Amino acid sequence: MGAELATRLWETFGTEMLLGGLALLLIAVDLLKGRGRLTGPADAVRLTAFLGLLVILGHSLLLEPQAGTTFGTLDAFAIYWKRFFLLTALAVLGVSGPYEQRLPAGRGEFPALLVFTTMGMTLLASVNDFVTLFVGLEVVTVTLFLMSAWRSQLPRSIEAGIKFVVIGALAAAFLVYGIAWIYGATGSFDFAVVHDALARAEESGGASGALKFGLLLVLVGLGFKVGAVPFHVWIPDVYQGSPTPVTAFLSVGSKAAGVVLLMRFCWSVLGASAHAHEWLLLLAGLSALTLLMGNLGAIPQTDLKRFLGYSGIAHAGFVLMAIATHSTDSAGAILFYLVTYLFANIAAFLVVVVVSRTADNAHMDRVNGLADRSPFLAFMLTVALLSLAGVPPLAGFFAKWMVLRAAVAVPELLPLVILSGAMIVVSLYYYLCVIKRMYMRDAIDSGVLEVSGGTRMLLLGCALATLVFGLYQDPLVQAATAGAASLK
Amino acid sequence: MNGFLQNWVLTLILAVPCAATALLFLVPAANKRLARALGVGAALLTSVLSLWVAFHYDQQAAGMQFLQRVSWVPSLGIAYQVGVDGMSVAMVLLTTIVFLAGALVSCGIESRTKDFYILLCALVSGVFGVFVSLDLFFFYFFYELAVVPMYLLIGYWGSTNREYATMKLTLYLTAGAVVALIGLLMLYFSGLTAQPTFDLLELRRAVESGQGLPADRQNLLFPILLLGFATIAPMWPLHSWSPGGHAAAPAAASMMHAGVLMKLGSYAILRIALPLLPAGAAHWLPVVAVLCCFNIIYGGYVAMNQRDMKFVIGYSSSSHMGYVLLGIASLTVLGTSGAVFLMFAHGVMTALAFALIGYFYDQTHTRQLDDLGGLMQQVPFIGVLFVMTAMASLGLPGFANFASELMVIVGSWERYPIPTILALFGLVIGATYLLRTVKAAFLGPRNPRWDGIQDARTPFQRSPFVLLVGVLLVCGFWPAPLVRLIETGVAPIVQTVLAVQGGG
Repeated sequence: MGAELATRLWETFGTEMLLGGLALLLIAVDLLKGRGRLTGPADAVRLTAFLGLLVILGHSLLLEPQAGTTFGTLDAFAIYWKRFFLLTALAVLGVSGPYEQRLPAGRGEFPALLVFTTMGMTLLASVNDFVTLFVGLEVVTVTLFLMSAWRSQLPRSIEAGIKFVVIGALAAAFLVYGIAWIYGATGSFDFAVVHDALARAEESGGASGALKFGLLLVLVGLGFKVGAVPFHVWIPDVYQGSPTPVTAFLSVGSKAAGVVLLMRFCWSVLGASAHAHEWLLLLAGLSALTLLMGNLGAIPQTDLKRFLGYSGIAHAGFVLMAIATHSTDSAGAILFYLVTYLFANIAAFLVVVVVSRTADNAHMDRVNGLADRSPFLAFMLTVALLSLAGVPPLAGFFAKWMVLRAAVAVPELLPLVILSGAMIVVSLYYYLCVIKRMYMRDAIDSGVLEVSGGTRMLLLGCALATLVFGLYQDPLVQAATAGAASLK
Repeated sequence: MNGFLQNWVLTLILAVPCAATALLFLVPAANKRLARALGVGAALLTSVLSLWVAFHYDQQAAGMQFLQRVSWVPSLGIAYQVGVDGMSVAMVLLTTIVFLAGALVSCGIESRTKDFYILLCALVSGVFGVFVSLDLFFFYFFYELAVVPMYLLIGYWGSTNREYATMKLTLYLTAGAVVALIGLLMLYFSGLTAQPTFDLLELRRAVESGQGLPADRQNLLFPILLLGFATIAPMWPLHSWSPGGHAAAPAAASMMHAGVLMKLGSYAILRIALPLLPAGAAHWLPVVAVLCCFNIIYGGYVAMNQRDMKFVIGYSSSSHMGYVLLGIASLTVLGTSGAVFLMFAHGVMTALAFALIGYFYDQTHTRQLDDLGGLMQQVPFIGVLFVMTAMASLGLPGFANFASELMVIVGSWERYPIPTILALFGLVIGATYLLRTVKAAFLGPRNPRWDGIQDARTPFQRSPFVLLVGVLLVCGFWPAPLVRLIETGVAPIVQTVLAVQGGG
């Protein structure tokens, strides 16, 4: 019996177990190195983390859908996201490479924390229960608190950490309170049970106020994670103050984790009720506000990280539109969307790390004349931004196209679709403004920009993926559709 | 070989500029000669391929030819499908001609030569893609692809007020494209075919077999598509991006922009909106016929008041596009074929005008009519050609523009007499501002300020101008082959709409 349970746990949560083990190993390596018990290259911890993550990514490619356990499932959807988060972790580790000398201390613990966060994220991919949801979310959030305040000698980093803690605690409070109401109304934490209770209640003339209130609070809690308006207020400050690799992780990994939970919530818990008028209106309204705030807010930004923060809010608005659409097509679109967002954002943040090396801030002036200083970096950032803007032949175009295609199928969403179309034009404006700085302005700093081999590889990889998925979309579409189809 | 080309020629036409774009990335930035050679080489190669298409297109059989279809994203109903009818062949020819002339004219560019050709080739890939795609997804894909390279071309190599103009242009065109996309997706989900598909041929078959959408649905969808496509056409009052964009763009970009890019809009209306929404077209085209009068008259009057030569040609372009729209609205084989022929003729003529202006602007650094004058003394070759361009533009017999405008006017007379009269009056306005421009810039006493500037002397320098004017003259004196070719493509589209109109 015990052995059977252990096997089942291993089959379902193998990725998380491996990640936990890797994180502990990293701490051990760091300790041993610090005491001089272990010799090796200076960045042995990072190297170990890199290799470990690669192995675990390899392992995740072998995963097959499982029935799972009562507190975690391993369907195609979960597997898709586990791979996504592992890829994100690898990419963020790459972004932290050229940043590392700016970290005052704890260079060894940094990768370990990163791996712990990733463990939380992969756990979230498997969630089918409100308790697991809360545990996973806290693993992610608490480790990110620490990482965002990592440069403890910089006031803005501390500020970012504190703001993040306060807002994170608020979001968690909403979430827990909501879960309590849901439990009170249904007597269960299980998504399936709550879903059935909701469906039954809908049939017999509307769900109870308590249940709805609980669900609403959970939605608020998740809204903080994805950065939906009006729960986005923390994003610009935290993004600006955190070390850039952490910002990258927040903008891709943490946001995607929020999206995964929101999808599970809307598909597994709300289910068909999401089409009920009130939920549709609520989600569409959130999407509209988020689109407006993100896109209009991005225009006046002068700091690249804040700018990317607002751009991230805008993309959350797009994803929320797909969530409001609530069809298998739209779920597949989200899965596709975030992969393209991953590659574009990682490349953008990596360029930010390189160009802000000497000034230690990410003011937009830093990219002025980049095309003259480093045509390579300028081109990579151009590709990333144009993909975010949704320009063919880059992957971001197809992602936006899939979301719109799915949304147009729901006639009620037409006003939202039109708004999102207008916002596509707005977003093109502000992305082009950054590109304009690179190609049509003179540099304020003519210092040489050194681009290491690793950075070059990562940038090229991101650009190539952006181009390939933009031209030959079918493999990723199939994977995304398979993942979306298993979402119940 | 022929069998292979039958299937692959359109893909090759598309692949050559794409491959040139990719290869140019590998060229070292210092090696400008290689970059130019690659750009011009790609243009020559596509010319050969397009001519092959034009000569091998079977006019007897008509319809879509050189078809190739590869399933692309089957789960979403997307297939890579290319094919051409007579109308697209004319547009492909136009693109090739302007591309070749543009690549030749740009050989004088010294700053970031490689990047310039990368963008030019990328732009051309998009334009070719639009003209040969028979899948709505790829159609839209290429349509968007053509927009952003233009932003950088104008923004970096441009002149007057370039950053403002290029941003305005890009945002207008993207806005139009997004509106069109929403319309296309609504069309996709409207249940025209049992299984939603982006396959243009299948959609057209569904319409032609009498299963068109209900009229009220069509009347809703048509203006959405029209709004999207007419932005790039550009139909008044959506035209304001265009003259500024023309004026700011470097010569080759203006040529592509006015010569080809603007034609994407009217082409899309003919290719998608008319045949798929015939009832909507019949219902809404009278509105187009009214609006295009504003293009013709208002555009003409504004052109008359410009002092910058590029703005004169820019506004004259939006004036001329009014004739194209009038021809489309006329819904006669003659008038609509005339519109397509005019798209071709105007594309070549305006490319020539911008090439000539760009040529002396590089040396004078001004295009203000008040500063110029007497240029005929210093640059007789350029001057003579500009006079010929102006004559072509104002519709002198012997140039292709005359033949095509005549077709439009004769074709639209019956249905829209008042707009046609206004259009005739527009010709007078056109003559006024063109002749005034010629007089102010080229005629008059010798202006010693311009004594130093060089005429186009070598055959290589002259080649793009000779190419363009040659096309205008050949098609002017002997329009029949091209017109017949265009008619084979246009006639079925017009008949689809007329059938609905007759029936309802």
